Amino acid sequence: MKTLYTFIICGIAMLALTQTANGQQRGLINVELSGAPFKQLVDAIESQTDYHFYYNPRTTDSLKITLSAQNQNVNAVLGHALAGTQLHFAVDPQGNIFVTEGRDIMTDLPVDFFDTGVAPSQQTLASGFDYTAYEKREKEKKLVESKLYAIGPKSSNLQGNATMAGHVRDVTNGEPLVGATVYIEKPLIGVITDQFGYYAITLPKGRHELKIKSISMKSTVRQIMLYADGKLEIELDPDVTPLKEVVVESDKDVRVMGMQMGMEKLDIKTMKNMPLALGETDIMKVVLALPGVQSVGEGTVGLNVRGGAANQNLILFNDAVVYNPSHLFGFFSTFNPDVLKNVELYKSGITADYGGRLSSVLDVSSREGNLKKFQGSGGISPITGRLTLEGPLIKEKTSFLIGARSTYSDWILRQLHNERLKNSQASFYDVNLNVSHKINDRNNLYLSGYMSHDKFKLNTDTSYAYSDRNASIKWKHIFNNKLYAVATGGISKYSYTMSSDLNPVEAFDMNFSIQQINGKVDFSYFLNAKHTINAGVSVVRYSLQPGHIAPKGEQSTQKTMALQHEQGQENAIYIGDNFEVSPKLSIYGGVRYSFYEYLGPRNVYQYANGIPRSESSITDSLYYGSGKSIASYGGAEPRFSIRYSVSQNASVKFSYNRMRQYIQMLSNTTAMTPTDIWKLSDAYIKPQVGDQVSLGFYKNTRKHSLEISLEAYYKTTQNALDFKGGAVLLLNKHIETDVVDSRGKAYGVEFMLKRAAGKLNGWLSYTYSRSFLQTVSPYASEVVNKGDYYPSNYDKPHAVNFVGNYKFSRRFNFSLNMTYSTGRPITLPLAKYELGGNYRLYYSDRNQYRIPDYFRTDISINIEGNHKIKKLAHSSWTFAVYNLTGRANAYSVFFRSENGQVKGYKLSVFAQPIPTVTYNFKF
Amino acid sequence: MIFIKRYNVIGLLPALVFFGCLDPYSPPDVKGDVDILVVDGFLSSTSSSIAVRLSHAIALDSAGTPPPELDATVILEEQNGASVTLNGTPDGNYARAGLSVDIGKQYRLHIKTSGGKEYFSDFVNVIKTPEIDSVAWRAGNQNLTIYVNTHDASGEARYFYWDYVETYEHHAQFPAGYIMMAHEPRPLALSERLDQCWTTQPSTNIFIASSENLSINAIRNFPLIVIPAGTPQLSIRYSILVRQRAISKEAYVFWTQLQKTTESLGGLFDPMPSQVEGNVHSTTDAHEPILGFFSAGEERQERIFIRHDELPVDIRIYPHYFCPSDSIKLGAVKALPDYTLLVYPYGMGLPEGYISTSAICMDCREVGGVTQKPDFW
Repeated sequence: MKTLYTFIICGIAMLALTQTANGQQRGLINVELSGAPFKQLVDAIESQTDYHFYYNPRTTDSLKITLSAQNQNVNAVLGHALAGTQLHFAVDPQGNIFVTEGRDIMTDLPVDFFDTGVAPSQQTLASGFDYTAYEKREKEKKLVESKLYAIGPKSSNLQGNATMAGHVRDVTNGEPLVGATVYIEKPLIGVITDQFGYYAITLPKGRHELKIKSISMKSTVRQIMLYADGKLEIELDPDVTPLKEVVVESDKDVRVMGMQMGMEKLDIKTMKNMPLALGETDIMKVVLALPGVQSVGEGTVGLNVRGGAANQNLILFNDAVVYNPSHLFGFFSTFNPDVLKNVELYKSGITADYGGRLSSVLDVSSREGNLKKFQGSGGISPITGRLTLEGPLIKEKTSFLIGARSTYSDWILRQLHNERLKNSQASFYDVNLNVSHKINDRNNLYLSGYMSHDKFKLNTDTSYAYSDRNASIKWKHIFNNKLYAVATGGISKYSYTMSSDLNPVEAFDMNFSIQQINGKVDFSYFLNAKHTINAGVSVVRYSLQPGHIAPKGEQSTQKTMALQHEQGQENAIYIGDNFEVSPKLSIYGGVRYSFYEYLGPRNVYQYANGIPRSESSITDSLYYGSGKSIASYGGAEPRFSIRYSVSQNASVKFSYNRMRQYIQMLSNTTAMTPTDIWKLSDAYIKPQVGDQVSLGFYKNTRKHSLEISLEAYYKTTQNALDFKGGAVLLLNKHIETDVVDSRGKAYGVEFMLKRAAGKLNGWLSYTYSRSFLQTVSPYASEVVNKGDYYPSNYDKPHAVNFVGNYKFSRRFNFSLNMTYSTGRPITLPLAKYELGGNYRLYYSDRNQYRIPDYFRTDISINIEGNHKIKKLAHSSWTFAVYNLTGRANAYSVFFRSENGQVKGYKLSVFAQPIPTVTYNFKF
Repeated sequence: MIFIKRYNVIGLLPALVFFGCLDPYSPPDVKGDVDILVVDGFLSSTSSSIAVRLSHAIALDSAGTPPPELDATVILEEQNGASVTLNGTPDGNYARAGLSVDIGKQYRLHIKTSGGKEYFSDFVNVIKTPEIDSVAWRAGNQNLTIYVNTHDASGEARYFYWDYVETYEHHAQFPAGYIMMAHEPRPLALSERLDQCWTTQPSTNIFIASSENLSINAIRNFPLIVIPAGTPQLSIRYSILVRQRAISKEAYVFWTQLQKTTESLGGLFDPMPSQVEGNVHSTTDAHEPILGFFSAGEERQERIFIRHDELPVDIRIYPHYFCPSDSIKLGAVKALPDYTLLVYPYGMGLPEGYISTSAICMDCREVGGVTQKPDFW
């Protein structure tokens, strides 16, 4: 219908162009109306002048006009009459008046519509009108921006505040925009959309200009007249020329004005612009380029955030816990870049709604499927292939997104002329499925499923397979503008198997699994302009099968053995309040109370008092029946942050938080391995407790294009686990005899300079951080390094990262990534001695030496296809070189006695430049 | 819980090397007191004897051999029983034969060094060792693996320790016929032949196994050594003497840890190295580290022979030596120093010169052999 209108009007306008008329002064109007129907005004004007009206009586039949005009022109009369309504009018040179609902009409064509050679001076009358979809949307956007939206039923009472709420979505696919800022400038009041793109803002009643900004979307404004509580749905235009817009990070002033500190948010576009190792965008590698995040070596997956162990990170994928986010020992992460939307990493100031891990929260969200049309994307790199499809199931209501990725590395390995590698196998795949359904304006349903699977056998007789699976369902219900709730249910399962058949008499199958079922309900309540309250409850039920081994094949003499299953339940309740004391001062205060029980059925060994726990000090074993509480722990976890704005562009923030962790990973290797086991806190292994204080200073300069931040932190950890020398963790029936209680401390300073806009963007960061552990045991035989603090495996004091991206044009961009860090600590042999016919090594105290420093440079060039909006498929090529300088960075250093000699080796993983080409497409 | 030792993720290393490289690495200057006493002792009830070796650790980059601890007093003490003092030798070995070892008793070592320090080992049981069922070999595509089998019907012995001594016969490619003496080539007598040698070498790795997690109390096909085809070992005749000891759980844990910390370590997926504690302690300083272990028990042994012609045809490969032969004119021969070897003379009638080649091809002693045939051969 709209198109038809436009078409007719254009026809009329074209005819009009040939005439030389000026209809602006066709007579003045005198009219006096009180609660009259619109028809009466029309009649009055038509009778007094030669204007002619075109309008749809249905859109105007409810309109009551009260108006008093003396000798006014038609524009003034209609402007007054239609103010505050959804109606617009347009007057053309022929004296035709078009009254339309919801949108405006252009009544004239561009001056150069028929003749491109018209002198520029004559163009001033015309407003540009180009019928490409993009330009059309631009126009429409301008129209919605200038239109006045009335929120709530009209009333003359403009005293006090009202709350308006709604969603901010992407106009092209209807996906909600997370982290979009919705605000007014005078006074400065703003909110950020949540993970559903939902916002609720409480403003003084009256007229406002509401500004909306979001990453890589065009900023927009809405003129609102706020009468009472109401709704406003906002759609934003994406920047169809993605290389032009800010690609890095969330909104410009969030770092300064936002409450959160120690948080980094990366959207998929930023990540896609970074150079890649093996032709694949990898969120874990991007996260590693952020200050305060380390790993023990390249090609390992564990993240060490601010001196914390790798298992202290809560990795969430659409609210379900991921236990092992790595493929191929960490050369890839399990998150398919095509389905990702963004990643948020919280290093400090963690709010009360998160719990369960000490160091950080890595919240990975996938996109929702396109609500409007079917589309797909994919890519081919030297190691993997991937494909993603999405589209509406019910248009505008239900959408799906399915992504799959797999490797053909098995095939590559077989092509290699290396006997050892030929006999190796390595394969993986991952699958994602999302369905989101809008039941109605108040209810939304989201379903998410994820699975990753790895299998490998590396020139050994032992083959390994591991798999991470999870599913979650989320229901969002909006009670009213001020209150909404989200109920989430999820299940996550991680399992691995190991099997060996080299020696048929010893062939075995071993497996391990951990499963958690969780449910939670979160409420968000926008009390008023100053308070936003979040509260909720959560329940997590863990069940572990900590190890089972069975013979493989008929000849095997392996004994079947299964460790007792473990059960535990973690309950938590929390409440937090974001209180904006004044535009300068904001406070967040929250508390989470968690309570954990380790549950039967289980036989629990009892140990003699006063001597170190060992197999020989077992005195008894107690049986606890099913569901009986064996041990319980709990406590409050206070969370607090404060932000004070020193000026419009600078702020100081402080935060404190305490976290409790009831499940930990047992690993006495330097890096996380797929076969590490997880252990619930029990009668002997206490939950870890971590406290962190941090202080930060943030400043934006040059109209927010340059962000400077400086954060310092101090952390302590209680009940961290350490292991006795030579501890065996797998299939250990009494793991408590092999662990030693220890405590940790970590501190550091992170400096970051970031340019988020312009042709050259990226960041430079420097981190100074230390991380130490200390064993706490009354027995000399159990302490490491004589009970002194010693550097943890991931203690790398200095780290410098540079990530830069330069756009030569909209189609070419170049990025450079440089990383430097101090080498990780190692334990070196001090001496050799002869025993059993060979030299043996005597080692130093733990972690007293370091491997050589690490330095790496990567580059990549992105070439986009042309930017025509309509074409079959959009494609892009990425050429990247990983480790451009070919520096042989030490991955590890080790010593072996070989044929009576002690030899030291330095192993480098990527010792030469690794070029890759990736082809990506989208249709 | 212990079976896992051999199934570590160590196999990853070759795959990583695919992308990267393995370079020699010499550690930074490591400082620390490395003069640590090493005790390596075994009381054998089979031979009614005890052998203890006392030495010291040396710096990692030291080229020398570990210095022995000399003039110490080493005493074997029987719990609630007699003590015997061992006889020391100048190379740090302390031994005593002709003991009466009581299988039901516990024994310990008592060491007093010449420096006045005093050490005791823990009391250890004398562990009964079952017989070796067999030492077997199996040929693969490119190599040969030697296995050991044992079982203990009594169910007592659960942990085993092996070591072995390999002996093999190997021949020189071009047997020398002449030797230079006083500027004249002299024919070698039959008794002086240098083309037939025997090399003997002990095992250098730690071989331990446990039947703890097996449904039967037996170790089946435990691999000891893999010999690649085409090596001198398999060129003529090969023999291996496998020695077996049943050990205590403590000894098993000790050797497992030692194996982990010295035979493969440092990879990111390997356990972190740690100091391996033995069962000898100082009486004065609880923190003084003492390396090594003292154990007692029986020792069983088994020897097998493998002839080259017993090997499957595909791996019946003779080792390849690069032996370029050269002819040396008589005049030049006379200038050669004493003990230079020559193969045979050439020339019509009177020798015009001698054929020679590299020493390694004429003298099997050059690759480490002895020409004395072992008694058991």
